[in-house]
Amino acid sequence: MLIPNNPDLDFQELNRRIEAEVQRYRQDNKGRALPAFNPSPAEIYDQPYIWMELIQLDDEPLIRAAYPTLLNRKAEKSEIQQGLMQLRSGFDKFEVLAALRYSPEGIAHNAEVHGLRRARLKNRLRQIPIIGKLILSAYGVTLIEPRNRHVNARLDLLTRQNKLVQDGLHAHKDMMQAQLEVQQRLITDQQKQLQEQHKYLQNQQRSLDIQHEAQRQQAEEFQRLEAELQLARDVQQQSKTVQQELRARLQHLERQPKQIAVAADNSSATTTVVATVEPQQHQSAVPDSFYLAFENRFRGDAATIRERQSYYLPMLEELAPLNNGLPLVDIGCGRGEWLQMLPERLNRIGIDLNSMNVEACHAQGLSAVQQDALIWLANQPENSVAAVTAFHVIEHLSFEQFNVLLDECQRVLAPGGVVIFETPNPENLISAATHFYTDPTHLHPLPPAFTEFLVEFKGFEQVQIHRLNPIPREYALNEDSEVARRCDALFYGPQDYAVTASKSAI
Amino acid sequence: MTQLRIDQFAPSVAAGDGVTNGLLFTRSLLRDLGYASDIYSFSIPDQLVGDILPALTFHPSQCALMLYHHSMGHDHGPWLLKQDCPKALVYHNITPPEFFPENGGLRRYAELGLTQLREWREEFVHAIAVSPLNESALKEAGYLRSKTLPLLVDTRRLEGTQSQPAFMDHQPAGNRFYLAVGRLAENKRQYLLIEAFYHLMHLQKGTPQAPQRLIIVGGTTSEDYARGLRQHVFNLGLQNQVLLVGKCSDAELRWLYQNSHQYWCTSAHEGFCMPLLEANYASLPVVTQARSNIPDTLGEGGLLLESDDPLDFALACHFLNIESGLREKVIAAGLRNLQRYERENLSQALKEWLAQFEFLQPVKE
Repeated sequence: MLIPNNPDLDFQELNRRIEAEVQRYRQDNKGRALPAFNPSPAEIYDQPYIWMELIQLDDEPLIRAAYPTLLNRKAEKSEIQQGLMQLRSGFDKFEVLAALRYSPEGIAHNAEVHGLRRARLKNRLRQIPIIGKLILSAYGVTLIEPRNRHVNARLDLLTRQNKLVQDGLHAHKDMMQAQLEVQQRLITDQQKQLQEQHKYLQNQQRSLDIQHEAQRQQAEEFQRLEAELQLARDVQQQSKTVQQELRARLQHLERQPKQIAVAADNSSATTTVVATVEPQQHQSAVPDSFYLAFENRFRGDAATIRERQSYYLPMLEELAPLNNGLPLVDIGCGRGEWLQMLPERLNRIGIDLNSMNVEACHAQGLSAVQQDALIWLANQPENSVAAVTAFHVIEHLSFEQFNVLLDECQRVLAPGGVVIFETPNPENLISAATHFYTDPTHLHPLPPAFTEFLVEFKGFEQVQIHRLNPIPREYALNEDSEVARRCDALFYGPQDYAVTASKSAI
Repeated sequence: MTQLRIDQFAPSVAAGDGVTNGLLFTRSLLRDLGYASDIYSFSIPDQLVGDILPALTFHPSQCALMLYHHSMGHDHGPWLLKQDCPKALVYHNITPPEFFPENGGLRRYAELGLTQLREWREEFVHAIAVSPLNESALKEAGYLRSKTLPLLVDTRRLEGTQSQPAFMDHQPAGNRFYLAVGRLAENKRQYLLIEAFYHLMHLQKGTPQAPQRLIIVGGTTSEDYARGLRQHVFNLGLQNQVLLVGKCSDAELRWLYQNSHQYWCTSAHEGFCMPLLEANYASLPVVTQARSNIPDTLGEGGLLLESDDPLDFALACHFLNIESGLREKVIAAGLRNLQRYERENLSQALKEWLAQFEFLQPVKE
């Protein structure tokens, strides 16, 4: 549409009318698309030319274009050859064109031509035997002078054109030569620069190689030193362990007569309280030093234990009796790893048979008692404890002892108080068949269903089984098959479980 | 007191070329304003020897201001930058490189021209753009000070003798012809003119008309493209009506402008587009499209189409023929447009531009 640029014109009206006309025109010419413009078509001479353009052509293009223009058809190969022969043997191009134009085919097509009369006449004369040739010769003789002049003038023109072209070529050649020289100089300079840069880069490369070699040697030295350090650490750790074990044995030996006396007292005192409790001598018959050595070997590192036990922390956060100051009692507290994870404000008590563990707890400022837990519980008043936890303890108890433990918990726990007992999970067959028996003091595996049932049976509420610590996925079979799924469940499932439960709040 | 000297430099000049005409025109304005002024160049054709001086004879110490005319890129940058006189840039258009064949010399020099424009911006005290389009190119290249001054057109040049071209002898008497002037090159898009002419012929069907011709004047820059145009003319069955007549002399061009019926232009890129003003001058109504600098040069002096559609173009031409009074109004607007390029107006504008340079003020005694 028109862009308004002139205040004297009503562009709105003009554009409206143009638009209407465009629509009408499009409607009238529907389906008649213009041929697309080709900006670089191949040269074609086989098409009709207007007369003025045709006569400007020469040689083969002239013959090719003459046929469509004058006869309205393409030239045959033989016709092109014949036409070229005529032109190249000195026939005037107008005579060739006249022959085509005034052939029967040409007359029928009747193309518009100008200035062919003389050529046509000459063609006709040429066809009359002898006389025609004589007339043409005579005609030629009369025209010798002007034709001579024409030929001379043309020759002169060609000579001049030739000279111009030659001069142009020379000038072009000189220019190219000059440019070439400049380019060559430039290339030589660049080559020099590149060579210098190459040299510089090579030097850099060499010094980098040297540095690299030195770094490699340093790295090797570091590795060697690290290995030695590790070796020294291992040796130190081993000797520490041996030292601990020896110290424990020594203490055991030193304490033996005293413990027997204490045990005698205890057994007489407790028989009245808990009839089913085994005599304590039996419990402590295995020296403390054994447990210490045993745990050093099999316990696993402290960080892993802490990470696993942190699972239980949220259960205690909202526990009212605990927050009100009643104690959490950890049976088999070991060196107090679990108690240490609990907030300091809480009342925490550890119970352990092993004197070395109890000492370790004391050293950390934890409250701990070296006593049989069942005896300790039996001595506590009702509703005086917020929580009882026991990690890997109940598998050491006989069925009767477990019964007593649950009864005592039910008694000493304050309403809403909880128990958390963790033990190996025999649903994992490897744990049940192998790891469980690594500890010779384990009695028998406790299937989760049984534990759950027993805890419920003892009157606890909200009894839950938490299956924990599965074998990491990367060790499992990791196949998409029923067999793999079942094997994964049986061999790579949770290695431990915990039963948690609470005493009725009422 | 000696006369102050403002010289001009262009790496190459050619007779009849737009930039060279601008140089000669500017020199005449400067001389009229009382400055001594010469033109220097490295490549001077025979016709201009003596009129334009070899660059190696230029004396920077005597020159108060050098106007450097920049269009295509060139290899004389080191010489130019060495001249230690104040320099101002006169920026003529550079045809965008993508309009030239890939890997060709023209494309390389067009790209170089744009690079040099950017790199040399600190070298000039000020810059003149010969059109608003060029001024926006200058701003894009980072020039902070510039002014549009069309120092190109000596409207006196539009006057002169006329001569009827030989090819018109063969045309029927009383024919009405539409004129387009410009090299046969891809960016000029003459195929759109041909298609518009085709539509115009169809629009007029049923109404008796005088014989009509589309005359396309211009030397061939791209052989392939010119052949494509001829082929297109043939495909549309217009071989007797569309004439690709090649180059014409100035006198022949004046005759064509004077005797044509309309002036047509569908060029995609024009740095200035001088023919629009030549048409205005000859009272020839212009129809064109709003591309590159065309709207700026045309002003109100012709019908300006928003789209590239040749049918819209044909209808604008058709209405110009049939709508009573429209033709006269467009011609009058063309003459008004021309006043913007009057010598007196440009001379005044140049004077004002020069007045900002303190170093050009005559020393007061």
